Amino acid sequence: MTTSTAPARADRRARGGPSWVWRCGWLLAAAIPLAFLALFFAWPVATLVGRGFASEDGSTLGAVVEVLTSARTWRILRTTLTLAVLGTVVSVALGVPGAYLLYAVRFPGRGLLRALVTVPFVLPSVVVGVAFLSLLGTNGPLGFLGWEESLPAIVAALVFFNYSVVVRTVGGLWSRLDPRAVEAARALEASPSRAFRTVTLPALLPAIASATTLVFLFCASAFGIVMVLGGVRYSTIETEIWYQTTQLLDLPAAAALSITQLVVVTLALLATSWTSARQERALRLRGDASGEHTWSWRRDWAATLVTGATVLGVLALPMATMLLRSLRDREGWTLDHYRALGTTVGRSLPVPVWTAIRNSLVVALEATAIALVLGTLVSLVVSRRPRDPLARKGLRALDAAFMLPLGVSAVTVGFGFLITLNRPPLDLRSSMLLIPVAQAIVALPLVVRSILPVLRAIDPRQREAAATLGAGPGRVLRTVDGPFLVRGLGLAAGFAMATSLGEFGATSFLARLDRPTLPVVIFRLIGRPGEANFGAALAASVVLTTLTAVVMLLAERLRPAEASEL
Amino acid sequence: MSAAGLSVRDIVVRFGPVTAVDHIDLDVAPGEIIALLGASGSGKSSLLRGIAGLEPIAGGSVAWDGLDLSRTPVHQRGFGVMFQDGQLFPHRDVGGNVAYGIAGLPRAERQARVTQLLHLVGLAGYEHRAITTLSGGQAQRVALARSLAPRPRLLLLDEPLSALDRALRERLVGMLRTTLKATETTAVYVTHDQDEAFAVADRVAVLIDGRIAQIGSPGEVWRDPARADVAHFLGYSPLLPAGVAAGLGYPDPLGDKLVAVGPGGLVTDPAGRRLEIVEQVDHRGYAAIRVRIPGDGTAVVRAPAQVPETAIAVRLDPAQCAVVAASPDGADRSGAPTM
Repeated sequence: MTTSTAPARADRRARGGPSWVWRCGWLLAAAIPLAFLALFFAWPVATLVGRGFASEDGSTLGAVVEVLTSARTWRILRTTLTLAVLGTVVSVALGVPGAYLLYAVRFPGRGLLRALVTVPFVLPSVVVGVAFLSLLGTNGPLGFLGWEESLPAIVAALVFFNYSVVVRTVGGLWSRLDPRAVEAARALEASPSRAFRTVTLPALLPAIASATTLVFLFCASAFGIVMVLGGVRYSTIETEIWYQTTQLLDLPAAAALSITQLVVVTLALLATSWTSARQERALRLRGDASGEHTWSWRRDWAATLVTGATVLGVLALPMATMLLRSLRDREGWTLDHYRALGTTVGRSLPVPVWTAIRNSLVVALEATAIALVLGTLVSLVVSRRPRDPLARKGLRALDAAFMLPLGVSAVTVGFGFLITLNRPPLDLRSSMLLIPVAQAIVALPLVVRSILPVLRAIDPRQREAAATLGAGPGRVLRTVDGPFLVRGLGLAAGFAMATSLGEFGATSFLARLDRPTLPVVIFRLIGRPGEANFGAALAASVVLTTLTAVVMLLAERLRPAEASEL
Repeated sequence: MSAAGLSVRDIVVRFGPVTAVDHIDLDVAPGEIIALLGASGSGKSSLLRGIAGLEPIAGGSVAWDGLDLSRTPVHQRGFGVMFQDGQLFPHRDVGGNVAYGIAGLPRAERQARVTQLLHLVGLAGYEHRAITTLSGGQAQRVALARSLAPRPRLLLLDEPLSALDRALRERLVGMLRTTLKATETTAVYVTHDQDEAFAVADRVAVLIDGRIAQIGSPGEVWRDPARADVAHFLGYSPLLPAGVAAGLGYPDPLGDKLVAVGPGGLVTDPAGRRLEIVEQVDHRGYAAIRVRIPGDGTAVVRAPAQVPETAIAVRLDPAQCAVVAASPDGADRSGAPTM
């Protein structure tokens, strides 16, 4: 058939299936994660929403109206919004100087400081609560402030969590700002402060806005922190859902609250997507020149003082207090609290703490495996570039669908599981997989956001080059996408594992009494009186922190340059 | 219709409402190198991608040796592509890149082929170098070796040298032609650079607005541009109507045709017509003196050096000019000078 039949070509003719096989393969790769999302996310959440609107006695809207008209609900909503606004404002106010110092200024030890600031974002919320409790509680070094079960304590813990979000989002942009714009303003005889106000700040605004909405989202759906630090005086929508469900067994009321939370979160998400669209526009304007300069006291003293105080006072102090107090009792230094981890802590727990640690690790491995398989499939499908505009639209929708769990609070997911997956047709209540599945749902957005940017960074002509060299679709996937995928997987696994280890919102609904995870055990311990219980909680928190930090530091070492979205 | 080699019939490539390639026919004989020469947006890269199967064609056919390949997937066409920026695989070393397309060969044979090709492109012994350590020129030579390794029956080169600086480009274009001829490779070479096209190709096709405006040997195309817009794209400027040309000493009657003034087409001559000097710029070896042509814009005269005058006497040198038919709309006559 051809005049020039080289052996190489004759050989490659034989390989590669027909294209419809591949099309079916891609459809399947999209269908599997979608089915998972529908079954373990959409269905439970939709059922939950439906439960609020139509209670079992047939009255529609009854529960919603009743809940929304009660004074208690409005007080809770007000607390939720107050906490979210305060947490956001303080995080941004402290985070912007931090972003400047850590990303626009060069000084020795900056890399270490950046890594240190990153850690809190992935720490388990219960641990953060315990750390602040150890600092601000009656017996803590700052107990004299009387901040136990107070607004400042909760806000400080929210800032602890979200400081790194602001620093990284704003700093990422700041380090890439073209310094020549400021130089031009200075050459036009603008003072440094005027140059900042008129040139730098407007350029940063999109990043600040996007960080603000993201932090607001995290603050509004904070669960573990408020559970630990709020006591009985402060409850937010999230904790109230938990309270109504597990303590009062009032499911319609909880459903109505979940709907309220969905509305708040949806509004925040809409604002996020709006500002991130603006940020992408702004990012195209950036120059490649780096806007870094060397540290000088005269220029950077304010940012240095603010950031130093934040890092030491808000980030380091609570963690250090937790660590030190876990090693002390009334008599002095001791390892008793750690020894107690091998016991049920005076029968406070159904199982020894070590068992809970083993449970946590097993569950985290399972959840990570599920999240990685699904996240890889989603990322591979979404990173395709079909010519058909309809297919492109479909991929965008798919991408958005797997971001949804980020916006729906973990408590809602856990609660949804509780009311849908506990009876026929699907009774998973006794299944060991229920918790890993719920945690995988919570971790999935982070996994996709770690893998997808790496795959998207592949020049599509790399795949074309491979095809023109005779590689069929399978070999292209293996040899071009494969190496990039592997690089993204490390970070994704770290995120999934850390999220799962610390997951408390959904797990607190689903963990069986005799098979608790570590965060559940810690929460149970601090709810009980006595120094022994609190000491064991501190020691368990230190263990959980160490586990999470090790996982995250390993993952950060594997972080590819392209993955900067979170 | 030629049976041997590539035959493209009536091919159309569209991007939404834009027709990038507008019913083009093209034949390439085995062993021949054809350059597709055109400005950006002329459709030359789209045509190449359509032939390769990287872009779906909205009409027409692509055939090799009379066998229709229009529905054959890219990886089964047996056509190689060399991209503008190489697109080497960053995770493989030089040898791994060159061997990518011949993975089906026995190991010893594969290594021999890699060694042979690297030798051919002047990079013998580079097998184990990382891609990131290569210079731009070296990377393109590896890309050439990689695309030649599976012995493609047709090699499509998409602006392979455009990302390189000029001196390197001039050196590599000779290497490219030698290599393609040494391997008896049939090639379609896309470029926007006239010198590059003329240096590398057996035949040059000039693309304008998605159609082939002219096709022929480099000499033919240069000496006898088929249309005003082709002449203009090749670097003829300005294009003068008969009256103006006669006034500048053009000897032959033109009718409604135009005189396309090539580089050096306007020479100083004390007996010529005195024209006002607009500006003078020094080049290596000559001065470019821009003069105003009455009623027809400006043109450049090459002189040994700048002159301390406000006007200079010039005439047309017919040997350095071409005669072309005017475009229907006359739009190409007074385009921006390319000198």
